[in-house]
Amino acid sequence: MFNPIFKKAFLVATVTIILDFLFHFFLTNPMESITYFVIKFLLAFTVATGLFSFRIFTKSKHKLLIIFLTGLIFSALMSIYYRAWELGEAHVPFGSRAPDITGIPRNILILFSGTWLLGHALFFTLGGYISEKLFEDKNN
Amino acid sequence: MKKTLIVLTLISVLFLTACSSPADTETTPEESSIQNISTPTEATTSVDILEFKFVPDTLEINVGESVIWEHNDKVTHKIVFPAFESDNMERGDTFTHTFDTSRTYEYYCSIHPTMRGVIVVK
Repeated sequence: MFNPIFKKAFLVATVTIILDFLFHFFLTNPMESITYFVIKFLLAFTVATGLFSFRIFTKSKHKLLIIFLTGLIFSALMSIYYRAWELGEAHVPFGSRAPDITGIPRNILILFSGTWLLGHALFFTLGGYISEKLFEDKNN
Repeated sequence: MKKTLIVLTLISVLFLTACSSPADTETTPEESSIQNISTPTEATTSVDILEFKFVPDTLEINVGESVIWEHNDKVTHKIVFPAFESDNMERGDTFTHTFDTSRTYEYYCSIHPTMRGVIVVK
């Protein structure tokens, strides 16, 4: 019924959001709003759709690496949205909106920002890996 | 493919381990985990903004009394009521409002929408 790329991208976005929600729930404070998770889902879905549509990916032997790099792009785009909101709409300093992360000092900006960037990228990567494996097995 | 997966798994484990290590954070005042409702005395017509929470999150006052919000957190917050709001508040800033009408006022932080509080004016 649905295009295979749509199904794969939907699975990537779903896994990404589930992992992200668990991360926020157990390891950050305060919890994010529903709007945040909806926007993240839509962004992950869009990025994953683009990824699975590219011939470079479908023909590649290094799919997991490409998924991870795409995850970094997804994470960076999400960060841009955050910062744009902070600076453009709320007029608050960089990083004000982001929740605290357990164990990560907020005042070490590179570590704090890097954790968000890498974390979101890893969630996307896991989603992409699961999606590839699931649909690869189905095709076999 | 397998090597890449192993590397990514190791990165994930390191990442999760780092996140679960004890935090090197400032000492914060002890807070009750039970939702706290304060009835007014001279010392409790203030609300503390700390650790992304309004403390107490529900405050009862009498008509004509004022509430002072004291910002003691690490990041910017902004208190928003339906009819009025504060400026962006940094650590050390205060915001005061006098409540002249008997009703229940719900408010939140516009930067961190899950931060919510209630002022009950009797």
